[in-house]
Amino acid sequence: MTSKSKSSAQKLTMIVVLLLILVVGTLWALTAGTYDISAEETYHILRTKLMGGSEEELSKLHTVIIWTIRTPRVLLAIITGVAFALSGAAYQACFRNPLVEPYILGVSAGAAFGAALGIMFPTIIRSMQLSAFGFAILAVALSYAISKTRGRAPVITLVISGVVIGSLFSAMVSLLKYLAPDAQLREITFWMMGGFYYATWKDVILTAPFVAVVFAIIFLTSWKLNILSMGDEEARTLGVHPERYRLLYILSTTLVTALCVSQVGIVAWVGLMAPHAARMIFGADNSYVVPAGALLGALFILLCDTMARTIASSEIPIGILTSVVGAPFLIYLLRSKGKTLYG
Amino acid sequence: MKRSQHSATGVAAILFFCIVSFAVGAQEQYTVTDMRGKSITLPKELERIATIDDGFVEAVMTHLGVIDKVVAIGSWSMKRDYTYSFVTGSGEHYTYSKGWNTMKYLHPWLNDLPCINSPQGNILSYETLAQSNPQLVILRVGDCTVGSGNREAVEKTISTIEAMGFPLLVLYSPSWYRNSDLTSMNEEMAVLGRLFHQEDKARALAAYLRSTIDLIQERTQAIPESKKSRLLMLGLNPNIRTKGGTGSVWGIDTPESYIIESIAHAKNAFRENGRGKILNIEQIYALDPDVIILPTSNGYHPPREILEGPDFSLLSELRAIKNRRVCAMPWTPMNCSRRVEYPLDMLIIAKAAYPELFSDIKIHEVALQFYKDVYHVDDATARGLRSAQWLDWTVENDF
Repeated sequence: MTSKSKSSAQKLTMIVVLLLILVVGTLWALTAGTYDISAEETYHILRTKLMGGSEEELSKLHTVIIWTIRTPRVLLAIITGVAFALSGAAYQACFRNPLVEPYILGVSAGAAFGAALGIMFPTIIRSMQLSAFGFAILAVALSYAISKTRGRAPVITLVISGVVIGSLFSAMVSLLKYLAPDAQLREITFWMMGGFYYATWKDVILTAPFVAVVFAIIFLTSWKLNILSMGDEEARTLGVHPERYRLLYILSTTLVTALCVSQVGIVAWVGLMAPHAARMIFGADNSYVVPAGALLGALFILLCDTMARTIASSEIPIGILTSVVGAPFLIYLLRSKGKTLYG
Repeated sequence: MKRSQHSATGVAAILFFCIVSFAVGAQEQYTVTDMRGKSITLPKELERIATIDDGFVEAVMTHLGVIDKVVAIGSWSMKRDYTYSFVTGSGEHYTYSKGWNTMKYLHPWLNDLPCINSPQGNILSYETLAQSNPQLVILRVGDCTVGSGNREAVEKTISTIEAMGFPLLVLYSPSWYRNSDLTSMNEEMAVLGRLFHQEDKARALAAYLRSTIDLIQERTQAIPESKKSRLLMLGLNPNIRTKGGTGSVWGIDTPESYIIESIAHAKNAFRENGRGKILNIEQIYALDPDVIILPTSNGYHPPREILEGPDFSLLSELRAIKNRRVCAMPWTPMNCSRRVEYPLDMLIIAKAAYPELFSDIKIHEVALQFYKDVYHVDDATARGLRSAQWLDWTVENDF
């Protein structure tokens, strides 16, 4: 066995360990909450719901808390963590820039504007989620259209146009916040801090397939992400069409990011932090960064959301916790492994 | 023979017992229809109620004498001590403390109840609601906790509470209908009256509140257009000044404007639509109102703040300020929709607009009587309520 294959085996083992930690973390999150329900009863409810069985002996209230409130919330947190981490990994490789995140092309600003419009004009815009999703996609489409010259969208102009469009939508959000009455201003501000408190099974069922498909696309073609991260010329030399693949990655990850943002608001840090954490632990190869980043993103959001709803008598917006928990963790990784990876 | 007679008697007794039990059992439940048109079956004796509103439901329950049934609340406005301070141009420091929701003042024990909402508002904890184990949840849609802006969130809140198995009674506040004339509050009170088997009393309360509207309209409806006072509802939210504005105003499509124009028969000096619109000094000068009304706007704003505060010194040439025709509204934190005390708000606006027409009405006296009538409190408690609502300026100015 060569040292390289040994290292691959170690990495695979670590990914399996991460997966096990996520499973244990999920079970722990399902038992944690303000309302006290024992682990045995939680298990019993989940088993009955998943495997079938008589629901008559289950407490209706406990079943609702575990199955209707906590489970979709926990699952949506995991799915969102996976989506943001995937997007972060793909964006960082496509743009060859470690500082980019899924929001760089204006997804968050566009979604925030759509949500703010929905909150300000509920009689005209009936679905705030749909409005947030539509404007998120519009923002990215505008960024891409503006950057495109002679049939190509060079990375640098794409980033610049993303920043410009993001600023434009942010300014429009500021304008709406400026004009909004107190109650609506509070609602917009809360939406922008992110949170899983409105999660339902419908959200999970809507989001999970898209995230699964995008994960499959990116994971199965992760070697092409490695080539893209080497540069356009190198990619062409190796037979990879950089424009075409960049478009595929940006479109697919933008779709899932916009979908998640429209449901849970803006959750900062995950898309930037999770791929970096994966890279520092597993190295630069995207074949490992993609799955490991997805697991770390899921674990990170799961941890933050469980803290958000359990550490105080009332809930803390998750955006605050992702920053408070995420920043020290990334600083630790940078101090301990940053030199090895980034030189 | 004797044995069979005994058996027949026994069977008859059991049957009678069953029929009586069934009848009694049937009587122990009743049905109430909420403002969605949904019928809710409830036990006759309700002892544990969770409320999700900003104090309106508690106020009506206080009037009906059933406030002790509340076991969980949905707004931190009934828990908080509010303080507001400002410095005048001459360096005098004024602090207003213990600004309380009327319900917090009347029922300090509400502070010990679990709050379903987060302190900042907008995040409901269903698990906290479950812990309080209510027999009924009363949700007033349109108050700050579950606002009428995000209708998807309203639907999710309603479906989640119902899925938990708690009977849910939904009230729609005027903001749900975008109803400036407040008539939907009568229906809210009627539903609560039916809930507590006191419909007549609830309707009487609605009529009592309505009588203030009639009084004001009677005195002001003959005022010709040319003699109407021009009022400006001016919010002095300190955050506005960091954005380059001076104050925020309420447009002609707002409930505040409805009170000014349709009840007090005055004129809203700001003739556009919208609420909380930010104006700079020049724009306020262009409106030049006869009277300025200061509502709760991210803090309490007494007349002294705009008359003497350094942030407003450039407004000193405004007619309303030169004539010192500035009034403050009662302290109304987290009041996203209308509250039971709305007649006092209306009277302050009407008297500010036409002091000569309401010279016989002293707000400080009316407020005391109002609290006594609505909350059945003694004089000392009514005075305490008036102070907690930061209305002592009406005593000082004999307003």
